[in-house]
Amino acid sequence: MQKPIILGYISDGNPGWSAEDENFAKLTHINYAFATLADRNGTVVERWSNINKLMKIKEKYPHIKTLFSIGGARAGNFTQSAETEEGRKRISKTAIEIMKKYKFDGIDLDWEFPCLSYKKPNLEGVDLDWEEAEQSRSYPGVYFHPDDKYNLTLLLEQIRTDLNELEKKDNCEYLLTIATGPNDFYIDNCEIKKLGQILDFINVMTYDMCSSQMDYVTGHHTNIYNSSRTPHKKSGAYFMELFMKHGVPANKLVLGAAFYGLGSNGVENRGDGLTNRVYGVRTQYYNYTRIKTEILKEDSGFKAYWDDEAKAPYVFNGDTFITYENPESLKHKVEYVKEKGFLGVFFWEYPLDQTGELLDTIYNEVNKK
Amino acid sequence: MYNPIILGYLEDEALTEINVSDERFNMLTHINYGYGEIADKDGNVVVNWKNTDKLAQLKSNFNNIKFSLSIGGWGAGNFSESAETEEGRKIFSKTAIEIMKKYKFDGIDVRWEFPCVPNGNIGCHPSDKYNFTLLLETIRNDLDELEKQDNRKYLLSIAAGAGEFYARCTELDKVGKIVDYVNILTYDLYATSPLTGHHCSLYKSSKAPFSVSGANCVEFFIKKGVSANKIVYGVAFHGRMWSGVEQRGDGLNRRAYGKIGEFVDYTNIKNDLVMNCEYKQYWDDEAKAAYLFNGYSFISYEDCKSIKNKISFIKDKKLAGLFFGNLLRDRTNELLNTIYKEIKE
Repeated sequence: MQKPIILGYISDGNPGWSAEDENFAKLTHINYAFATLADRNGTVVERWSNINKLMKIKEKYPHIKTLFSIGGARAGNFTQSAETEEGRKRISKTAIEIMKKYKFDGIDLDWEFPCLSYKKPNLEGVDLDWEEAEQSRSYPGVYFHPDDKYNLTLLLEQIRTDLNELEKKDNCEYLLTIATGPNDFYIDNCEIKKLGQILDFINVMTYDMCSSQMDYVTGHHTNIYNSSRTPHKKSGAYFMELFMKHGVPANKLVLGAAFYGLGSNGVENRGDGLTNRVYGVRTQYYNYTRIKTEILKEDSGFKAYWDDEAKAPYVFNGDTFITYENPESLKHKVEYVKEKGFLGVFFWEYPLDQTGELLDTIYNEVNKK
Repeated sequence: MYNPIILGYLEDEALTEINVSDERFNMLTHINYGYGEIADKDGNVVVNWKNTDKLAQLKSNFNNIKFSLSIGGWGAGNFSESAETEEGRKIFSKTAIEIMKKYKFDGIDVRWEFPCVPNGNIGCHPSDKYNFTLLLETIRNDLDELEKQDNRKYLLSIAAGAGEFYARCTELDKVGKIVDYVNILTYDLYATSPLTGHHCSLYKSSKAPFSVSGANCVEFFIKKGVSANKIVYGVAFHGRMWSGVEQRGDGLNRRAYGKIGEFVDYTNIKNDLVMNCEYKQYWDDEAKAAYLFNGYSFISYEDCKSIKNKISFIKDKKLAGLFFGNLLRDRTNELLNTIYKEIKE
């Protein structure tokens, strides 16, 4: 069996990475984030300032496939641009221009998310989570339409067709991938089986799984397995298997890991902090470097915990609760990917771990006999 | 003899404006007077009412109306924390009953919006699901005691969220057995989405991608074990307005770039919008829902026709009756008149 791929996102705006960093050698793929849609007509643009660094890395490590990502959290103009054939052609054309300009090996589409707010067609629930509330929430500036479901397929078909043309001409391979949300409604909101056929692979964003403003108790955000202590059923394994069940082959699915934690403060002070009410600010971002060097330090006041059912770490100091990823949880993720024959692991994002130990863990586990 | 109830929620503040001998009260069988608040995390229910003298007059003018003390409402907190311990539940029940007795009410209405859901920025916890049942049990037991003592009946009701989420967040079958009435909030079903849609439709429209409808909710509650003769259907004396809507067709199911789901009183809808020739009136016959569109603003609302359809549904299903939120939102009186006429027919 092929070795799992290791894909790292890098965002242009994060200065915490250098072309000289030798740890890049451990990656098989880089997704460079983000290009955006500048208008409702499908014009893809980039405003990158560190792209030369990426070009250097690519030169130094020719084995790395580079892709660039269009979209990202709450990026707009997808629904309108994908609505017409003209718009879809323009997305494809302008995206391919960027790809060619910076010698990328492919295009990654992060439309978050088609048909957002599209409610499920029946009232029968699975169990207690607040997906319904989540779905009916609106994001300022992000729109949707029920037709997104079909337009996403048409858009990807358009890009794939254009890439196929180019492949013949350039005599090389170009990748087309997407990032999808860890939500049941994502399955309802796109033609996932067809997408699985068009795409080279799908990055399943199995993180931020308790980041919703609707979850006002603490929980795990990137747990590989479910925990009976937390109210919802979300887990990495749950979503990977859900996508598989809906027709995407395992060797096209990539499991998500997070090089950051999510913290809440004003948490009820009892027990180990897990599933306690939150009265303060939720989902504050803690990069792994900070967690490792400040939060996990002995005199930080935080106590570290491990949920052995979810295989997920968390810390609590009586007020602030942080759910995060660590080498131990990553070992379980890579083990899971290998055992089930998934394509690989990806993570958001490279510069968030300056210690290097998270990527080291993935690399070592992937290459373990 | 089947006599559907007509229940109006009435906030203390409204008595500043409404005359206590207003004839509209003749049409009501029940009033849930609000709101009581939970003052702390220990379960102490309090009221801060200004119009208690008028309330007493209102009660004596219309002595056929059953009054309940309504506790909670949108954004009212401390439910989750108070219901968590046996002590909290007992204090909640005791203090609520004291207020009920003080104002000579006929019952208690618990309006926790909603267990397990932090909407409205209130504390919540997965254990709310079970604590809610326990809280209602505690109040019911205390009311039972009191019934023996006073040799009369006291009502216990709840306001329930319309939808699957509410069934997941409560033990609906048990709750349905404890309370006398379940007032389902079958409006605002769809008001936070950037896509236009019906906010209080009786049935689902195949044109609309979302699925929640009043009939769906009622049938779902029945399926979950709440008996039909305890279910009170909520009608809306308000509409929801989307602006900056894509100018296509009748505006239904379109993206809105402006404000989303803004609250509009029926009075304004009727006097300012329906009467305005810029707006075209539409009727979705599948959903039994009214809406307006002027090429820019889209309004989903309740009108006399949609109420008629709802009342035949209520009678057909032999539901307990119907409720509305606030009398003052319809100064034309035509909605309440329609309700009364159709119920009596």
